[in-house]
Order: sequence, then C-alpha cells, then structure tokens
Amino acid sequence: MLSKEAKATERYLEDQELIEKLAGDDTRNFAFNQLVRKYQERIYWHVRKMVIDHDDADDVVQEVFIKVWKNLHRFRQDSQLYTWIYRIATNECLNFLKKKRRVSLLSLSDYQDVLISKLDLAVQVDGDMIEMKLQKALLKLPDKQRMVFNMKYFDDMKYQDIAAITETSVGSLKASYHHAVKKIEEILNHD
Amino acid sequence: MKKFRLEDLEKRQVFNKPPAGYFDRLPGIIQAKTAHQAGKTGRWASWVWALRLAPVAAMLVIIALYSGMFQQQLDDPGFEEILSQVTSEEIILYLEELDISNDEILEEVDLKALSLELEQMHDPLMDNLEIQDESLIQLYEDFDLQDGLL
Repeated sequence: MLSKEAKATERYLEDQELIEKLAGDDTRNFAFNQLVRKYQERIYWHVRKMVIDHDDADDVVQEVFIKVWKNLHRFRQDSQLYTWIYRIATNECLNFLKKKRRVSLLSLSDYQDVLISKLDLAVQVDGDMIEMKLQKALLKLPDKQRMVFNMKYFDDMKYQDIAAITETSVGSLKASYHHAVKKIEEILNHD
Repeated sequence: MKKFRLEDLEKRQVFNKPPAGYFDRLPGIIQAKTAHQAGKTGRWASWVWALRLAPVAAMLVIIALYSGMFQQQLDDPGFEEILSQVTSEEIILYLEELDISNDEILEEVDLKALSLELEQMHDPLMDNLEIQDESLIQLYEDFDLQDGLL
C-alpha cells in the first residue's frame, strides 16, 4: 500500500505512452494496471455522485474498467483516452440507474426515494445543511441532466469535454445546465 | 429575503469517503476479474463455437441424407422406364406363357368405341391405302376377329 506521500508523487504514464503500451502483448497488463491507477478516483467520484451509494459505485466502477479492458481494441484514438473512459463510465452509470428504476417500477416504488434514503447514509453533512438540500434537489433532475450538472458544476469540466463524453452538442449542454441551475434554485428557494 | 443562488454556494465534497485502502485494492480486483474473463472467454468461446456450428452440422447431415435418398430414387427407374427396357419379343413370350387367347385380349378392348375412333381419324396413310372390302374381310378371317367386329 502506498503512503500518502508516495501517492502524491506517484507518477502516472502519459496517455500516449499508455496507449502504446496497451497495444503490446507483453506490456498490456502493466499498462492497464497503470491506467486503472491513474483514472480510478476520478471515475469513482463521477459514478458515486450519480449512484450515491459506495457499494453501487464500486460495482459500476469495476464494470467500467472491465469494459475498458474488453474494448481496448476498439479505441481508435479519435478521442482522448480519458474522454473514452469517461464516456464508458457515463453510459454504465446511466444504464445502471435505468435498470434500477425499472426494477423499482415493478415493485411500485420510486427509485428517487431510494436514492434519497441512500443519500442520508452516504453524506457527511447534516440533513439541514444547504449542501444536503442541494443533493436532494439534484435527485429531482433527470439522470442525464444531473450528470451534465455534476460534470460542469462540481468537476468544472469544459463544455467541449462534456460534449465529447456525452456525444451531445455544446449548445444543448449549455441549455441543459442553465435549466438545471434554474430548477435547483427554485427548489432551494422554495424550501 | 435574499434569493439563494447556486454560484454563491461553496462547492464541497459531501459524500463519505470509500473504505480505507479501497483505491489500493481496486486495480488488483479489476485485473483479477479481467484475467478470469479471459480464461472464461477461452472455454466459453469453444462452447459458443460448438453451439454455433451444431445447427450447421445438423443441416449438412440432413442434406447428405436427403441427397443420398434422392440419388437412390433417381437410381430406381420408374415403371415406364422399366417397361421401355423390355423388348417386344419378351412381352410376346410373357403373354404366351400366360396363355391368354386373342378373344380374352379382345374382351378387354371396347371394339365399338375403337371402331368409332378409327372412323373419326383422318389418317392420310389409311385414307390413301385403298384397301378393298374383300381384303379387309380376309384380314378379319385370318385373325378371327369377325365376331367381335360385326
């Protein structure tokens, strides 16, 4: 296990170097290990903000990297490696939530209520605090809009990068984010 | 009352951290799963190929059986073909063995209908034959057909 200091200075391979090593039979496993170490935290938090619960996030993150491994031969380098991984993570997240909502529908419950109850256990702030109210307000947005909001607001990603990940136009993303902000402010001001 | 604006809010990470050592263990867990997938894929692939090829193999067997049966059918000549291979002499010999008289053969023939049919036929050969009645009568007598025709 790496110490905090070692982690802080841990050098990761550049993406281009990773891509080259992933292409080699002898170096693929090592490169993949490096890829996971490089991107696991970012992907984890991207997923965790959507699925709320750590165990669910763990399942989704593992699926993401397994899919990355299985589809390495399909990576055409027409996008950044990070964008490609993020795109797989985004799709896995949305599919996971869609599946959960479908199962919830069968039991005549709303998965949104399930996420709210998971939120109470998953956050380290008081329920009265504004950050908790914000998280609950976010759960009222459609999943894809919530995801775009997370990437823009919390991760401070550029619209061009979000567009590449979600394969949506920059204009649509700006509109989506603007509406999300308005809706959240309405909810928070109403409470 | 001042309206709340999102841009005024300080961005904070509110979620609980994952368990200690989670990110140290995760790469190993993932690589173990990908290695297991690769092993499974090897065995799975051979099963998948076996399942995919099974219907094809079954079709080939059916086609081979059908072809064999069809060929056998082709090899078995039809009744007419069998008959065409039999010579006229063999037919006559057969009939002689059966000891069927001319009368018995003629009993099977509708002579009146045959006569009408012959009359209606305009065979140039027959029309130009110019057979005299006396010759015809002689012919009838020779083959003993007189009673049947008249």
